[in-house]
Amino acid sequence: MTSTLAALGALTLALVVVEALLGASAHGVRGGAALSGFAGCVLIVVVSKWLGKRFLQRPDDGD
Amino acid sequence: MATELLHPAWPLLLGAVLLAAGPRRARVPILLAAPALAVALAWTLPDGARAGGRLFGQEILFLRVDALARVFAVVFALVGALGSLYALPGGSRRGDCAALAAAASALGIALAGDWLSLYAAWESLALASAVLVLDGGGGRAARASYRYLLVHLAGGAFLLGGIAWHLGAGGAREIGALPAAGAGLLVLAGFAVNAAIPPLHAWLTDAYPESSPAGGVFLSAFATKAAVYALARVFPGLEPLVWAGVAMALYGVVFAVLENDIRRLLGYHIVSQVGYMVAGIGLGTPMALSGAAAHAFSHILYKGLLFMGAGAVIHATGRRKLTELGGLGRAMPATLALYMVGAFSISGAPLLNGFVSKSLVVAAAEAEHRAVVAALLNLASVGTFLHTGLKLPWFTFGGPERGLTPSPVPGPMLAAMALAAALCALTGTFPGILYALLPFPVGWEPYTAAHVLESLQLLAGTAIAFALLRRHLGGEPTITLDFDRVYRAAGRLVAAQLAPAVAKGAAAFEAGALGAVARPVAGEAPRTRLPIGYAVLTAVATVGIGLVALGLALR
Repeated sequence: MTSTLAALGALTLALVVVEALLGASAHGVRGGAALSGFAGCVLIVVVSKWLGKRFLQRPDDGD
Repeated sequence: MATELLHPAWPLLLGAVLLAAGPRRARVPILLAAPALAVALAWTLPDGARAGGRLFGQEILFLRVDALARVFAVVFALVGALGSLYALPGGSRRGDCAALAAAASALGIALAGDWLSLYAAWESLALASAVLVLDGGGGRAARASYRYLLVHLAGGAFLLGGIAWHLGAGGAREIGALPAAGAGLLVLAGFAVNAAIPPLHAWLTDAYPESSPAGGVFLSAFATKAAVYALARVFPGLEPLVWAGVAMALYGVVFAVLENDIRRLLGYHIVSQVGYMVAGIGLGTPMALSGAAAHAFSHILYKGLLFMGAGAVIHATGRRKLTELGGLGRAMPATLALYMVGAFSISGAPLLNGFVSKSLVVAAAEAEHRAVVAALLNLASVGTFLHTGLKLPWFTFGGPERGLTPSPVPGPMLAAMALAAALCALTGTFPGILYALLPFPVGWEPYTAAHVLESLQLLAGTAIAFALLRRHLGGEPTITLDFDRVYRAAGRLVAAQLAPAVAKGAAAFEAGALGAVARPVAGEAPRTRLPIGYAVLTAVATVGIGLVALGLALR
């Protein structure tokens, strides 16, 4: 798993470097999209899990 | 050729009749030829063609072609052909007929020129879809099918009420834009049920997972996208649809986090993806409407592919829950690879069709300076990749070894998946093919360095978060409460407080109807729990709306 994380981290870094070299930031912030992907994912998981535990999930009785 | 015969639903209807009445050995040629002919007819539909006649003393116009109708007709016919190929290895006579009838009905909706033709096709799609759910087999499927039918009959009652009101007040027979008031509100409610706009969406995730593997492919394509077409035709630029669409996009994502059933997870992502289309229709600019149509086209192809992938897993293992699946990648490499093409398409990866169409909707929102709408749609896109592209494949094909020995996936199923994947890649790599079908000219260039890098970064950031949170994201042996609980409770309340006699009659009718249609599965205990809530709500909605509409029409 550590190697997968390292590979993903290297890939993301490469994408940010290419973005900087080309000066091609979509919304003006270098690496902003990678950061919003990461933060958005964490936000979705935390909020959904909280809603699930607090209100929505029930044991599956097989029916 | 007479214009009437150009309607691409004809070969499908004829095929359905032949499948029902003809010899079994004709099945494969019919399932291959009828949808192929429908694709050819849809593709060559001449712009401006019209055909109709008189039915029960009413003028009808069952064929009216323009660009918006044609793009939906082409993709409905295409998925009909792909689904039929996928259905070849298995399938009952009942399921085959229902599939072709559902495709014909969807084409009937897309090409209907007048309100009555639209209504007829709308109801026949509901009926054919309910049979597709029923064909999943067993008591669960029968009950889900019955609930599906009740919800869609209620939706159809709203639509009919709206149409009767509109025509009774001297409105135009031909379908056109309506204001969201009076008759328009009833029509909108009918469309909203089919579009699965929360809180009217629970029928979708209730019913689709109970269908057969092939049935799920057809179901995933037609009902919601027929409603998207209808909304684009009748309510373009209706502001509340923007926020309804954004809410749908996020709602589906939240529920997909909690979901354990693989096709129910994909069903929640139908709600989410249809949200982009509904938001685009609400924005109402030419770019946004073209974006909604483009996204419907892309979505039908990649979602069909995803349902085919999930269906192949269910076919090969007999299991459908993440907590019961795992480690299938080595035994099912082709299924995994083709599923991932669909997963990267829906996630908006470059070179695939979601990259083009999803960003067209988001760019249309940005062009209107709707930064919050664009940001929330992008957030939903992160959730899409998280579930469809990471969670589902990881815990199905990777993840824990469960010692499963899947049976081989038949060739036609893999061939259908390969064709769907090829179409996702073709329209994603050469967006001009898709643009040529859209209702308005599109100048959006998705392949700029900034947009490609932004999309890849978004995916990479999501993947890093998944890798860190993976342990918390596996399936859990739970079910998730959704709005169907509210329908049931409300219906029970009405039944208990207002109409015990109706409830008693409904129970007797349900027992009879279920007994007649449910095919019992060996070893499954008979069940007596019946959806009284749904039945009573449908009865109240149908009778109430019908009376109101009749009163207004005869005023």
